[in-house]
Amino acid sequence: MALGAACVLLLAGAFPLLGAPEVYRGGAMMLLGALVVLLCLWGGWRLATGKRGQLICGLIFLFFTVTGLSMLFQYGAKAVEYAGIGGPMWAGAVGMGCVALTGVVFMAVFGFLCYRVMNAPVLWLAGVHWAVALLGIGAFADAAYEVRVPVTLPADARTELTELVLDDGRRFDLGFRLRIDDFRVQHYDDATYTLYSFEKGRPGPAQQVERRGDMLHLGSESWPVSSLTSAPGMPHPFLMLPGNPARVLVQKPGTVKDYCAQVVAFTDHRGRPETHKAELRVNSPFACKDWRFSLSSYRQEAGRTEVLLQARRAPGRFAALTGMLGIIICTAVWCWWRKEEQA
Amino acid sequence: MITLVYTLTLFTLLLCLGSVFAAVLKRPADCRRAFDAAWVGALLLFVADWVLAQAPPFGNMRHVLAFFPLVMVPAAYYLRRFRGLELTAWLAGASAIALIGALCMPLQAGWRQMPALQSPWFVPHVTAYVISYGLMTVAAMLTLASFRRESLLDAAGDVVRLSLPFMTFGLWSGALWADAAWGGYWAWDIKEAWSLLTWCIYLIYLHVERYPAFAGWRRPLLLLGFAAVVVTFLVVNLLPRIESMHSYAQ
Repeated sequence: MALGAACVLLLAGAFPLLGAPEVYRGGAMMLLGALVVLLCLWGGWRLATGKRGQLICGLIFLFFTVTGLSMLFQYGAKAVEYAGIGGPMWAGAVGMGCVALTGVVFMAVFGFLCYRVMNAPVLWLAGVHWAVALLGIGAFADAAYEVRVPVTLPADARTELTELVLDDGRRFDLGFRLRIDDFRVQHYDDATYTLYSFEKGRPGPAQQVERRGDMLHLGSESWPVSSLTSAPGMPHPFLMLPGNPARVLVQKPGTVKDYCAQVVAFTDHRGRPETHKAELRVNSPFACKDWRFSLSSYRQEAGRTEVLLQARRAPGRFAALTGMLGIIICTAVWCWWRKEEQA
Repeated sequence: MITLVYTLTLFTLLLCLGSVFAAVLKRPADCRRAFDAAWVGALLLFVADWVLAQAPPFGNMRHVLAFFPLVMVPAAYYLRRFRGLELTAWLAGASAIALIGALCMPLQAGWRQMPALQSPWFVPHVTAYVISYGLMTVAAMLTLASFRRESLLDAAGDVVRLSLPFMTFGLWSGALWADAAWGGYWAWDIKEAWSLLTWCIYLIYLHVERYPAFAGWRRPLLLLGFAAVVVTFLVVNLLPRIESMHSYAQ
């Protein structure tokens, strides 16, 4: 019944052309979410009747198995990265490799224990229910206490972020200083040059201009590339050409392949000042203290680069992500268990 | 190269149709052989697409549809070997539908992965969804056929059980990926909402499947679930007026 009601509410907001995402953040959805969490807790408890100790131990072992897997990937990747740099970083690579191996040991030991303890499909089914409940609890904690702030920070190695200000005026002290030292953009292809002409205020046909070395050529005309300039309010470098009709030559960058920001955080560890440097990319956020910074986009204007970040503090994130992993693993084991033993 | 891609698509499609035809003629060995040959064709097509795109070929709808037979053949083997279900012709039929769709799509050879898609989650997320949607298509076909042959409804349930973990992985791995890329694991984007809705419908199916009192609900739920799959996979992506964070998949 609760799942059916959830479907109706989801459908109400997810209709392709008349989508109303407000439905999802409304009171009805919150109430239904709470009901689903309670039902999942009860369902898991009831399914594991007589095997509750086994279920709790099994889920703890499963958690440590996944932790081991996560350690293997995280520190293994760092070991490979440091080994690739070589030189003095080899010591770091060996250290990271040892931690990755510890992850393998964790995985092997707790994976075996989990395999021995969770020996009935119904336990995995109960695990799915509790994982959904854990995800729901995390989502509720985030809905109540999450702080999410879009931040624009110039990549000038001078401007430091020390606090975040919400739209409603609330201020959050970060507890550290954050600065962007450098920002790099990679493109799939070279920049293109287009000549636009305007007659009596109306735009005429655009013409592609060819670049040969340091010069731009169009028919018998040519201009040096260095003559293009940036100006406030103009998104791309340009060159105004004298004469009638008015013409403007615009440089457009190629398709963006990747971009990354060099982030420096000035923080402290037990009262001692510490500096953390990291490369912030779209898929690899930077975390410091309770805050996580994701790279959303960037803006380049008049030779100045501004980096658009999203700062987020989410107390329920860990529970929600653990719940998701639990759902994935427990569903797979339960669904793929031999059918005759599932009933 | 473009001609080669279309030729391979057509070749694989003909083999899938051949597999279905062999099953109609009650020649199961030929049915399996033709579908195995279709897998080879699909593999060559996948390689050709990868070479053209210079990246894992999941950049557009044609890429994804052409990938279907590649995962359907192992699924047919798994169902036959471990579940005792001979559904090769049904999976070949579902693959043929996907390949007909792929033939109707424009060939966008070059594909430039935007920064958000350059993640280790990208390939497993898409692959899991392709497997899941392919199997759910088979489940829907079996459900329709069960109006004439009741036993096929149980087979549809088995296919759902095989498919649901992939759908679950696709859904929640997407959330884990979004947490890294967009700074939040859930944004109530329209594609996310429809994916969750689809998942919930199949969860309801698994809940009612256990109780004989709800036996009459099984067919409507399976068909409703498939309708939600179609909306999630096709309608949300192909309707141009929808603004979605997943719009790069259009």
